[in-house]
Formats: sequence, C-alpha cells, structure tokens
Amino acid sequence: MANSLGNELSAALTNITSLIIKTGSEDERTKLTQQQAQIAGQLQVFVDKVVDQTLPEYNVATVALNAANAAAEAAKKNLDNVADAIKKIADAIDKLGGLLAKLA
Amino acid sequence: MDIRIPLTVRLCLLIILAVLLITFTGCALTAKQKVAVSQFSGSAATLGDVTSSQLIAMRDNTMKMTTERLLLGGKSKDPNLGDQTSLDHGFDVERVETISGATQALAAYGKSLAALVDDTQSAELKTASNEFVASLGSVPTAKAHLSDEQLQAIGTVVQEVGGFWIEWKRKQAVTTIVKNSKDVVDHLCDLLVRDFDPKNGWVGLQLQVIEDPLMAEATNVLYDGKTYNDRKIALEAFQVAYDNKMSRTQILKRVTDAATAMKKANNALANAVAKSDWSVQDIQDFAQKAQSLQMAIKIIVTK
Repeated sequence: MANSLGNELSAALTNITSLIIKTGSEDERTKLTQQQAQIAGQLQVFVDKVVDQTLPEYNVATVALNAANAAAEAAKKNLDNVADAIKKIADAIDKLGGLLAKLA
Repeated sequence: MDIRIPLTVRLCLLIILAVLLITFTGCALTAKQKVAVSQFSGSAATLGDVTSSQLIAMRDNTMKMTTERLLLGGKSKDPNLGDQTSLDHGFDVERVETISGATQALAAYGKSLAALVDDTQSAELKTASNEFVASLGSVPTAKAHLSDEQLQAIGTVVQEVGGFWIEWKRKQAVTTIVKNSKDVVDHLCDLLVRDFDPKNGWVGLQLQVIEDPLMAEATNVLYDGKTYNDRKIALEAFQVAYDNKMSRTQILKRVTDAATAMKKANNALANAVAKSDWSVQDIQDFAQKAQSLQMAIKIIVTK
C-alpha cells in the first residue's frame, strides 16, 4: 500500500514534468509547475515517513556489524599472540640459562 | 647437572606431538576456503565503501540542485520541499550518517575478515622459534647434550606446532564470525535492496523529489529566456539534474544488484567455512557454491 502510494506519486511527478517540457504556453507551464511542486511535496512527506521507519533498522545493523568487527579484531590479536608467547618462553629460557650458569 | 631426558619421556613427547599435529592438520581452513573468504571480504569492503561515498555524493548533489532551483525559481512552491534553510533536505546529515554508518560497518567487516584470513603470523613465528632455539642453545647444560641439528629440529617443531595452533584458531574464529554475522549481513543486504531499488526504494524517490522541480524551473527559464546568458544558466541547471538522473538510474541499480549478489555470496560463504566433513558430494557441492560465490563477486566488482 505504502509502496503503491510512492509509485503513484512518482509516476504523477514524471508525467507532469514531461508535460512541462512539452508545453509551450507560459501560463500552462506556470500552472503545471505549481501542481508539480505540490505532488513533489506530497512525495517528500511520504519519503520522510518511510525513512523515519527505516533508520532504526540501519542502526540495529550497524551495532551488530560493529560487534562482529570487534570479535574479528580480538581474534586477530589472539593469533598474533602465539608468536609473542613463544618469544616469552625464549626469554624465560634465557633467564633460566643464566641461573643454571650461576649454579654450575 | 644432567638434563638428559629419559627415553620413555621422549617417546611420550613424540606421541603427544604426533597427536597434536594430526588433530590440528584437519582443523585448518583449506586454501579454497581462504580464497572464498578473501574474495567475499574484499567485495564486501568495496560495496560498503562505494555505497558510503555515493550517499555523500547524493547529499552534495541535493544541495546543488536545491540551490539551482531556488536561483531559477525563487521561493519554494511547496512548503514540504527544501528551501534556503534546508538545502540538504532529503539527504540531511542524520540520514546520510545513519545509512553510511551501516555501509561503513559492512566495509569494516570485510576488511577485518580479510585481515583475519591473511597470514601475517608465519614470519613472526619463524623469528620467535629462532629466538627460542638461540635461547635454548645458550643454556650450557642443554648445549652440552644437544647438537645444532637437534636444536634446529626443536625450533622447527616449535614453529610447526605454533603454526598449526594458529591455523586451528583462525578457522575457529572465521567460522564463528561468519556464522554469527550471517543474519545481520543478510538483513543489511535486504535493507539496501529495498531502499536503493531504482523504482520502489525511497532513495530513488527522494532523488526524484529534488530533480523534477529543478527540471521544471530550468525548462521555464530555458523557454522564457531572452538571452544567451539566460539559456546558459538554464542549461547549467539541466546538467546538474542530468548528473542526478545518472545516479538515480545507474548507480542505484548497481548497488541493488551488488547487495542481491552479496546475500547469495554470504550464504555460500557460510556453507564454505562450515563444512568440515568433506565427502565427494560435499566437494562437488562446494565447487558449485564456490563458482556461484565467484560469479556473485564478479557482479559486485564489475558492475
């Protein structure tokens, strides 16, 4: 229903714009331009209502996708940590070596 | 101090190592799966980035067209249309910011998925295992009982086990993220298809609301103009309206096509990363899905 209203207004706007382009009479064009502005205004009101309902859906999608991105970044850090863990073990062995050398 | 390891302990270590290798080997993403994820994520980033930039371009065009209409026709002929106090009416900051927030999040999703699949750890692992071997070699008692070859072999094992561990974790992360994000990515594709549809979507209708009144005012000035300059001003306005018409008819269609293709690719990707029980049938099915994914991505990239 809502879509058909939008489509009807859009079709009316297209038709009246075509008429303005075809009409030679200045008076006729003035009247048509006024009518066109009214239809465009109605279509603007229609679009505004549709968008008001739509924006919260995008907000929900944004929040969910940002959560997925955060999870992906955390997972990537976890992967990078494996090499760090091996380096830490190497550091520990270095210290252990120093300690053993003192004990020997 | 004697650090020689008893034979039974060494055997146990070898068995544990073998079990770890066998376990991790089957739990990594295959090359095909990695290609599928990379292609999908690259295309998702492209769709998200391009759509975001187009929304900003639409706002800029809206301001240009409303300005031109006011210059040509004076005060707005209907109070619901944009005027000198609301030049960006229809693509105001809140609208553009909200929708491009979602498309930028989609682009970021693609980029973070690509970063997760890209192997940046191999070089770091090699450095770490080299440091490990060097440290072990510096322990006097270890050096006394282990040859250089044995130390190198230990380094290789450390690197391999680390690598298998990373690949296992990588697969777990990619599978979980793709599976958990499937519904929201699908939903965002649905929103883009619905709203950017050139015939029924609100984005196209909004562009028409701004474009058609400008066409009318420019036509009036062109027909009624007496001088070259009058007509020149009208034709400059037609040019702005024409650019908008191209966005309305061409770009919206491509965004819609890309979002439709992405939804299909998202489904194929979820199947591709989830399948661990490979059979001949699964391989054949996956080949078809990979082909379908590839075709969908071609649509996203080329159109």
